[in-house]
Amino acid sequence: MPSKPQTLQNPIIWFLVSLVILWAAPLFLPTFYVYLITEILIVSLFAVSTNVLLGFTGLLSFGQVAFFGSSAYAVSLLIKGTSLPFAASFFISVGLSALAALIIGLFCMRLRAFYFAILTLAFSQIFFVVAYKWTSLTGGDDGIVGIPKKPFFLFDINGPDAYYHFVLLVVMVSLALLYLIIRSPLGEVLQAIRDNSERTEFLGLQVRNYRLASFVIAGTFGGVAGALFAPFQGIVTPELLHWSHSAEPLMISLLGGMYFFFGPIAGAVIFVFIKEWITGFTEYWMFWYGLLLMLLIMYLPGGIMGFISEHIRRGKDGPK
Amino acid sequence: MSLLEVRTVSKSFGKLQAVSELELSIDEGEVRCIIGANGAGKTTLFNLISGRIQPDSGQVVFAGEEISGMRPPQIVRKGLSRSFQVSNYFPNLSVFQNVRIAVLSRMRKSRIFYWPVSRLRDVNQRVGELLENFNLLSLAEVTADKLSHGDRRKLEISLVVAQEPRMLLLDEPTAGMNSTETESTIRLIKDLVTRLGLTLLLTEHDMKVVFSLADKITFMHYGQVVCEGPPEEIKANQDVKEIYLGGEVC
Repeated sequence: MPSKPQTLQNPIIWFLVSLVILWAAPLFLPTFYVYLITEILIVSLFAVSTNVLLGFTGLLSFGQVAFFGSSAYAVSLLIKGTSLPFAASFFISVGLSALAALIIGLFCMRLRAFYFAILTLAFSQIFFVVAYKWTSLTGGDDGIVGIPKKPFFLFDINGPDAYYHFVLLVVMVSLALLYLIIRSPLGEVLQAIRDNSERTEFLGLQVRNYRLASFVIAGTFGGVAGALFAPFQGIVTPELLHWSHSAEPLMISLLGGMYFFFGPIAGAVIFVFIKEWITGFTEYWMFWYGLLLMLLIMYLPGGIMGFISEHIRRGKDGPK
Repeated sequence: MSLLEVRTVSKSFGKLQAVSELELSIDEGEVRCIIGANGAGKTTLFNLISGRIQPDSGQVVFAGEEISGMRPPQIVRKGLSRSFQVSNYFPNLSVFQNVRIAVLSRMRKSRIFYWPVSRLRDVNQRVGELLENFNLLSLAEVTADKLSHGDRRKLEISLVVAQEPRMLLLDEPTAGMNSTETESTIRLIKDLVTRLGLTLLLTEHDMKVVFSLADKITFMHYGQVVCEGPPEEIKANQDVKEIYLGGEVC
């Protein structure tokens, strides 16, 4: 009983259409907005990767910033300290994030729920302390400044539009991969674990291994977001690794709707815009954002996407 | 030869001796029904066999291999699957997806991460067959927590059957079903057992179900086996009559 035409249901069409529109965006948008969308794209990827854990595996991790931040640091150090081409630095940093996620995941998977959340928080704090205290390597409190945008393979990505296009391509490919994973057998098993981990075990599946896989996937793509972020900002500081920064993708996922793949993207759009808009009036944008988030959670528990899908469903089922 | 052997297994929770030095032996292809009042230790026994809890002492041996001490996924992989008394499924997934998890596990395709699950034709076909067998096909797209109680029970059993086990443990499969649902479920179970030659261990309160299914009945009381034998023998047994059939429950 398909009610929509086939083309509307085909994710590849959606993917290509949004890619073309976003690719053309710098033609009709001022540079300020190109910056803003670049940031939205990076934040979206970080949030969607975190939401693989939160919304699709049912794991609350306060440590995702460890992968985002360490990758941002790694890429910055490699760019500034070695003569490696940017592409190599980029992939090495992402690989390190994946490895870090595997190692930390092996420890954290022993624990459940609350203890898992706290342990991930503790691990991310270790990363923060390393970045803060190991001054000779990380620059300590000052961080690493003046990170250039070196060419990616043969492509020059220096300049806001060029870097935007680079970020757009990497983020879209990453999102497509994550989407495929969520729609794959593995993704379905993760959702089963979220719903009922005990029953998943009684269907013959080792829950711990699947949770670990999910943790590594989230860490890897969090690392991709971090490696994009460092050259974009041109600076990395320990603040990036602070645990409060881990709350960001979680709040964004809640805001957008954590049971929807595209929820965190909707959340990221609103998050970045609100941040920009409110910081125009006051430094205390977090206060207003917190207030808004409280209201949304109380009145829109399914997030923005939950609200929209509820209305579409009501529209379909209700009297005409 | 016996497929499942429970050897002097004991389990206590605090001061409560839930199962005490219990012995049980079930032959391949047998349908065994365990009866007994609430609190007799039937569900604890199921939990011990299926690895949900570990025995304090004693052994559980399946197909000649000790399975006590193994975790549930390993036991399932050996071919021993169970259902639960309180329906235990994936509430936010559709009925189709629920069964698909079991089929993915059975077909060893649960680790594929690079291909949409909706495109795995053999998996989806198998899910369709199972849903048809259980009369759930019309509800395939319904989210599991929107199902009626009877359909939840059917889903519960279909999840076990989807794993194509050698031996099935069904914990009160018809609990809370109405009489038509009970009848169709029993017919389904009977059909499965005869067609696939499964070994079946179930607990049940409904004596009509018990007597129509079981080759042999085991009567449990206070965590111990009081007596066991073919249905007619149990029906005639004086202890069972006093404690159970005529007494505490019926």
